[in-house]
Amino acid sequence: MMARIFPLFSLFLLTAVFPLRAQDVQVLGSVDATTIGAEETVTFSIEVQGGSLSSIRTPQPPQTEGLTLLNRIPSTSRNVSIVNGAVTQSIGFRWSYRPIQEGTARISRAEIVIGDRTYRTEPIQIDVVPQAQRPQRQARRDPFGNLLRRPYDDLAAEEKPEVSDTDVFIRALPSAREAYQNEQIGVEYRLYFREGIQLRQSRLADSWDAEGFWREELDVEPRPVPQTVVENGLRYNMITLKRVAVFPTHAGELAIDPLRIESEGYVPRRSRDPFRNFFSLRDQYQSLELASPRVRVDAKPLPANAPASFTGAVGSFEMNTRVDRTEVEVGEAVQVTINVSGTGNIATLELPDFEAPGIFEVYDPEVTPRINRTGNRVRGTKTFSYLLVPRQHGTFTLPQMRFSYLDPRTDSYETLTSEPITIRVTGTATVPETISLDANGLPVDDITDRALADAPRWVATGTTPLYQRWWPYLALVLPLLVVAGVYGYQRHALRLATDPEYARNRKAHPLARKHLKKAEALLAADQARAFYEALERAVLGFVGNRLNLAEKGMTRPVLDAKLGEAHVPDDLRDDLRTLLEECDRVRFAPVPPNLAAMRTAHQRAARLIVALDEAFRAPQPAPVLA
Amino acid sequence: MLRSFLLFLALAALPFAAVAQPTEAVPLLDAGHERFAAGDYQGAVEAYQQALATGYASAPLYYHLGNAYYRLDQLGQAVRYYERARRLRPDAPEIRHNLAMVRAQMLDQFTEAPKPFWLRWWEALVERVGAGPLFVGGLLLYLVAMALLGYRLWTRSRSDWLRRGLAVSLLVGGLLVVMGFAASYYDAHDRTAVVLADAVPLYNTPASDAESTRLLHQGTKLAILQARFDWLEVRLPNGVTGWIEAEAVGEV
Repeated sequence: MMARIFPLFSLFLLTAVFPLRAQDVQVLGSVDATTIGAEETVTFSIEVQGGSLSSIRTPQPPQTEGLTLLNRIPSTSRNVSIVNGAVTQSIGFRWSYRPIQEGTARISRAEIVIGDRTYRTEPIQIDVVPQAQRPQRQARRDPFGNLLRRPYDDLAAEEKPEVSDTDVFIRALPSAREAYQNEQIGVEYRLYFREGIQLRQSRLADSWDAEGFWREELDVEPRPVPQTVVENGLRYNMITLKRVAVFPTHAGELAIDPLRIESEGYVPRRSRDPFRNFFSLRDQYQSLELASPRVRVDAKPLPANAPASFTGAVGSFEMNTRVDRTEVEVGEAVQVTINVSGTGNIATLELPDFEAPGIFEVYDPEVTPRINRTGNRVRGTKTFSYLLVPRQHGTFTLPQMRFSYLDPRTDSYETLTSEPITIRVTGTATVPETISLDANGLPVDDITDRALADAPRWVATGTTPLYQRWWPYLALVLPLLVVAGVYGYQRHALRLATDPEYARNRKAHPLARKHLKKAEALLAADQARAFYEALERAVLGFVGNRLNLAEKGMTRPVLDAKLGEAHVPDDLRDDLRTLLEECDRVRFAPVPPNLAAMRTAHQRAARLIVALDEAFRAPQPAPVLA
Repeated sequence: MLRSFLLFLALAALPFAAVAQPTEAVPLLDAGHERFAAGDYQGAVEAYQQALATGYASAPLYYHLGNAYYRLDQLGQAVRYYERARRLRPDAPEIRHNLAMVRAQMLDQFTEAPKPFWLRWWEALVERVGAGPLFVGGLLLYLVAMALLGYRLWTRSRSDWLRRGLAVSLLVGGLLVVMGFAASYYDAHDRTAVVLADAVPLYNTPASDAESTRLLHQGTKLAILQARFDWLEVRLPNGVTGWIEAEAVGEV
């Protein structure tokens, strides 16, 4: 019986370290091991926490299969702890059983009456294995074994207890294994450890991540109080390590990393010497590495037929719309506030574009998310605050805001529609005044559209440039020509007045001049016969022209008579006759005359023509003309 | 003599006597003003452009067209028409002010190489007087000189005053005529353009796969050196030259 007390005593120590909460009555039925060797005993205990212990009647041992009861009267233990002024009492009843045979044994429900209520424990199944295959026990419970050992070999013989996977583990509890894209999945990580194990210096081994998910951490107790729970008939202390809400960002098979922690665990070692057991705690901590299983999530794509107002929200939402006033003046701001609240991914929640009538200037909304992270789900409210500034007066109805989300419970899209808002705008638009003007009366910060000072002068576009036109050149050259003409005329007049030869030449008959010129050319070429022929033709041609006679077939006497009729003076007639005779003589002469004679003849012919011309021009008696 | 002189005067004055009569452009200009005042800047641009299409232009038309483009945030076009307005009315403070306002918003800011004083004087003279009046003034003096010369030849006068008057009028008149021609030639050949595209690269050679030296932004004023197919060789205000695609710019 003494040996029985020590485990209880250490249990007492543990519960002092992790005090239990004392609210409601909690009845837990548990065994100290679910797998035992055939020669071992198993202890079934009922622990009652809370309530008034005085009203508990000592329960009857539960019915069993494959086990024999060793003590009919349970050993009881009482426990009182005071934490923060709250008193927690607990009482435990224990029975020991020995297995009858290898195989499966069972402890049925035990009943305990507290006050006027009857509580039942869960049935527990126990595997009885051959003694050699028995798992290492947390504590040696054989009271007689101690007595049989020699007093001083226990140090070497003492087995070092190991912390097994069933003693300490982390469990990941996802709220769903299958979800829509962007649907919320809550994942809770719980640390379980057997009663009697103490943990210290626990920390995250590496960073936890969930690739392919949007993550929202949820609140957990910063200083958790272990809860006593029974898992598979064993009593555990349980702490919630982490709560997180994850939202798959795309469809497909996604995995959430395991949560790993490193810790040091203290395993109570049952030594035969209670005092050494009590005083040598230092080397009994053992480092532990714990990891939760990896959580796999199958993310489904969003169903088709999404409405136009769907922006990706999955969950359940409510929407309400508020406007701060419905009557404004032109230029004043109206604030339209749209609240979307519900369960889902608040952080990424978006509203469809707000389409106000064109006369409103809509500013980008002010978005305020409020996320509630308590509990197992992300909840919250997102507030979209739009500022609308009307630019005209009138009554306008803002279009209804639609917001759609996928409700994963019904697998259908739900659409929320806001109430239509009517806004009455009064007043007239005021033109913003020019802020400031500079010295010229022009705005400092803007362009001016002031009319230009004087009357517009219109010009034809696409005109040819001056230098490509004809008239400037003409205008320059023409006066020059005129002046040149003036100069030429002036010079001509001067020579006529001063140079008689020039004047006579200018007055000579043009045709005669032509023949004289030809004769001159022949003179230069020293062709005497041709020269005299040209000379004769010039003179005869001139006379014939003036007398209006044909040159051919005109004999010299006839010519002389005609000249006489035309009142040509006799000396001129003689001169003419002499010249013509000279011409005839040279034409038939065997030896050509010399150059000097020819030149003299040419001069005589020229002079004769001029003189004849003057004689013809001289006033003549009327009967002759008639 | 007198008759031919008068004929010359009439001939010379002929191109200036025919003052443009923009009967169609004026109502369109007014329509543009109305739309501009109502805030319909696009409509104003259309009305002003229709007024331009009648074949007549005025400084106010270009100026208000620039304003409408400015309000439409088409800074390149705004600069283009302000520059045209400034050609017609170089002294209007409104045009200068608006041009400065747009310039201040340009992405490309250049430090312009200072022009020599004679070039500035010359440009100021051309801007204020114009090629046509320069030429006509010179022509009148030239005609005076010709008349004096004719008189001198006619009368065979040897007066010193006549000779001096002839020399001065011929010299000054000839100078003015040459200046008038030079100004018109300079005006026709000094083509400037404004970048209308938001951003357009300046290339070393007229090919879009050539090396691009820099990016030009809307509103930058360029001097056109030569045109080759769809390319223009341009000079930036800071003296850098390069090739640019012709469709990205608008000629002033």
